[in-house]
Amino acid sequence: MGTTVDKLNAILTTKGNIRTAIIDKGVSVPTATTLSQYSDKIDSISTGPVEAIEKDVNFYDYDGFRVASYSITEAKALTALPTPPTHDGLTFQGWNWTLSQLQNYNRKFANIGANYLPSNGVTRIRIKINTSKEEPFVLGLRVASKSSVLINYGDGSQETKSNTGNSATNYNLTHSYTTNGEYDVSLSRFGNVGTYGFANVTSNHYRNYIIKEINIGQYVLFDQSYSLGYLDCKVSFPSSSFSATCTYCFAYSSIPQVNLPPCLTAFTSSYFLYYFKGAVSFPPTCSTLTGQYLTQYSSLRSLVLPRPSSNASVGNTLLSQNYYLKYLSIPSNFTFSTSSNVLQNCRNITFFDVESGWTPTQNITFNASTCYTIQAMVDFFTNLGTTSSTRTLTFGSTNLGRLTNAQKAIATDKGYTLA
Amino acid sequence: MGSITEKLQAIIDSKEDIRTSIINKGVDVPESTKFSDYPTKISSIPTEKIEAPENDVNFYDYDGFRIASYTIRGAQSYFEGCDTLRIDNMPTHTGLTFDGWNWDAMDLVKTSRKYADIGALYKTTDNATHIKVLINNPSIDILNTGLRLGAKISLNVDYGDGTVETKENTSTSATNVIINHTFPSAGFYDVKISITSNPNSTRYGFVSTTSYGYRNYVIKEINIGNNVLLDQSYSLAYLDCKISFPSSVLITGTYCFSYSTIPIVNLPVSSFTTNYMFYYFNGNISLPSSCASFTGTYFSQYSSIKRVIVPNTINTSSVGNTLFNNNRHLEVLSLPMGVTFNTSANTVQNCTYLKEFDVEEGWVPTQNITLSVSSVFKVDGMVRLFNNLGDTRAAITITLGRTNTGRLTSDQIAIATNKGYTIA
Repeated sequence: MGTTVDKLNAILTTKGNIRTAIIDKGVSVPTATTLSQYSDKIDSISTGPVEAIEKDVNFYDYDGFRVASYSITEAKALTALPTPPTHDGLTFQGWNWTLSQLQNYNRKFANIGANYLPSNGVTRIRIKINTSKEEPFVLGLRVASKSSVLINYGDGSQETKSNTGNSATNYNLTHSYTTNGEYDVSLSRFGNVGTYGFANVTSNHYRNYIIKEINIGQYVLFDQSYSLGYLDCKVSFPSSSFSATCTYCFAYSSIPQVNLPPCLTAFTSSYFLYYFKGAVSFPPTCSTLTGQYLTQYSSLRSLVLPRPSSNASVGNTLLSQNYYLKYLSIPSNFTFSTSSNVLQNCRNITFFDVESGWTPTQNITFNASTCYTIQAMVDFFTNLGTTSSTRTLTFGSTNLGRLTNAQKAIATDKGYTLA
Repeated sequence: MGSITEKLQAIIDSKEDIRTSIINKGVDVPESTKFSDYPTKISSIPTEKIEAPENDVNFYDYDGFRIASYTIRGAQSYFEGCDTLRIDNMPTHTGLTFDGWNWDAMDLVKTSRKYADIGALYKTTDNATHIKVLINNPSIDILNTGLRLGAKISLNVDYGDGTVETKENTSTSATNVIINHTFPSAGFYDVKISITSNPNSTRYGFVSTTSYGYRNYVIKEINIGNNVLLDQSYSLAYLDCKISFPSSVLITGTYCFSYSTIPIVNLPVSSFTTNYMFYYFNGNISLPSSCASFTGTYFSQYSSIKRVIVPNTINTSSVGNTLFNNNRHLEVLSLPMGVTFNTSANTVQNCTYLKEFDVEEGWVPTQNITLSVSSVFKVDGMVRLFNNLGDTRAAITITLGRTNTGRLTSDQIAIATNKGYTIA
C-alpha cells in the first residue's frame, strides 16, 4: 500500500465492508453513520446464546442446550452455579445438583440439569393439531383418591375429573379441536389436594406425535407404566413435588434432555429409560438405585449414575445394550452382582469413570468396547480399591495393547488380573 | 474535528472500539488483526438462530440445525417451478461456502412420498480439509489417524501450531500414511490438509482403523475438502463430532460411519453399495434425493437413525431384511419405486418404534411384509401406505398386527384389500 490516498481509500473500503457485515447481521446502518458509531451498531447485533462445548462437567437446559461446561478442576472451584436462559412461562428453580455437591464430588464426569416449574404451577402440554378431525388430543389421566383435576384444553373448553373413590383412578381424556393450530393444555389440581399423573396406555401412544412439549407442574406423580413413554418432545421437570415410580417411565421416548429433579430419591423402576433416545441428567445422590434394564437399548452417550445412600449391587441388565454409551460414571458403592458381561454390547464406551476406592465384587468384562483411552484406563486403575479376592478385569488385547507394563501394574499391584 | 492527526487518532479509537464490540460478541480479535479483516470477524458473530419445528420436509444444516421445514404440500407448492431449492436466512459458517442441497428441486416437487430430509453441503473456502481438535492435556491428547493418498498425490498437513508436515505418495497406486501429532499446549487447533501436487488428479481420504478410533475424542469437527475419496473401511468411524461434506466427496468404503455419533450426515453421494455404512451409528442422516443404486447389507443396522428416506434409484434394487433391521429408534422408513425387499421375513426387525412406512405411489412389494413389530403406526400413515400401494396380482400379505389395524375402519382396510393385498 502506497500513498496516503491509497490508505484512506482502503479505510473507506473497509468501512463499507464493515457496514455490509453489520447489515447482514440484521442491524440497520444508514449511510450517514460515522465510523465512530459502528461499535454501537455492533453492540446491537442480536446474538443468541452460544452453546458451550462439551467438557467433563456440563450444565444442560431442559431442551438439551449446553449452558456451561467446565473441566472437573474448574467445576470444583466454582463459587456459584451458572445461570440458565429464560423461558416464557417457566420459572427456573435451580439445578439438580447443588454447588456443595459439585464441590465435594469425587468423580470426573457430571451432567447437571436445570429444573423449571411452570410459572402458574400447573402442568402445560403444548400440542400441535394439523388435521383436527383425525387428531384428537388423547391422554390417560391418573387422579389420586379424593382428588380432582381441572383440564383446560386451551380452546375455551375445560372439564374436571373428580375421583371420589379410595384409590387412584385412570381417565381417558379425548378432546377434538375444530381449528388446526397450537394449543396449551393445562392440568391443575382442583381443590388443592392429592396428586395426578399420566396413564399413557399403550393403545394411545401412537397419538403422542401431536405433543410438542410438556412442562410438568406441581403435585405430579407418575406411577403408571409408560407415563412418559412414546413421546417425541421436550419435557421440563420441577425440582420438587414430583415423583416417578413407574416402570417403562420414558420407554420408547425421544426427549432431548431429561433432567431428573433432586426430589427423585429412589431409582428402583425397571426399564426406566428402555429404548430411550436422548440424554439424561440424574441428581448426584439417591436413596436406592436398583431395578432392571434401567437404560437398555437407549441411545445415551453419557450416563452418570447417582450415588445411592446404601450399597447397591445390581445385575448386568441394568446397562446392557447401550450401543452408543461413551461416558459411564459410577459411584464407589455401586457394584455388579454378576460376573457375566455387565457392559454387554456397550461397544462405544471410552471413559469408565469410577469413584476412588471402587472395588468390584465380580469379574468384569469390558472388552465389548475397544475404545478405552489410555488415560481412561489409567484413571480407572488408579481409582480402583485394593482387592483381596481373585478379580479379573477383561479389557481385551486391543485396549490393553495401548498400555505400558507400568500402567497395567497400577491395577495388578492392587490384586487384579488384567486380561 | 480539526487536524489530520486528530482525525487519524479518531479512526484508531474507532477501530479499537469496534474491536472491543466484536470481542464482546464472543469473537476473538487478536491485536494484530488487520482492520480490513474486521468485516470477516463481524460476519462470524453468532446470531440468534431459531430452529424450525420438525415437519414432513426438513432442511438441515451440517450441524443438525433445522433451518426450515414444511409440510409436503407446502414444500411442493413453494418450490414448484424452481430450478434449485432456495432457503432464506441461510446460516453462514466461517471457512465454509454453501455448496447446495443434496436434493433436486424437481425430485421434491414430484415425489408422492410424504417425507424428505434435505441436507446442506459445504465446500471449504480454501478447498482443504479441516480437522478441528480440542487438546485438553497435551501429554495425553494427540491427533492420531490415517490418511489414504491417491497415486502421486502430495499433501501438506498444517497442524495449526506452527508445524507443517508433507505427506507424499510417489507411487502409482494408493497408499496409507499415519498422522501422529502431539500439540505443544492445550487449546483448539485447526488442522488443515491441503493438496500441494496432484499430477494424476487423484484423491485422498481417511484410514480411520479401529486401532486409531479410540483417540478420536479430540476431534470436534471435520470439514471435508475437495478431492476426497473415502474408500477405506471405517473412514469416518468412531467419531463424535460434526462433519460437513462438499458435493464432490465420494464414499465407497464399508463401515464408513459405523460406531460414530454425528448430529447429522448430509450425503451427496450417488451410489449406496457399501455394507454397514451406518452400523451402530448414533445420529441422523440426510440422503440425496436420487442415486444410481441402493444396495449393500446392514445399511443402518443397530443405528439410532430416526428417519431413513431412501433415494430414488436409477437401478431397481431388491434388498435383504438386514438393511434396516434393529434400527430401534427408527420412526420413518420411506422407499422409492425402485427398492423392494427380497425376503418375506421381518424386513423391519426390531424397529419397534416405526410410525410410518412411506412409499412412492405405485410401489408394489414383491414379498409379504411384516410391520407388526411396531404398534405405533399412525392412522393417516397406514391409509397413505394403502393409497400409494400399486395393485398386486401376487398373494401379498401386509401384517400390521391387531393393535395397528384395530385403529382402522373397514373402509380404510379396503383400500389395500381392493388392490389385492391381505391385511393381517
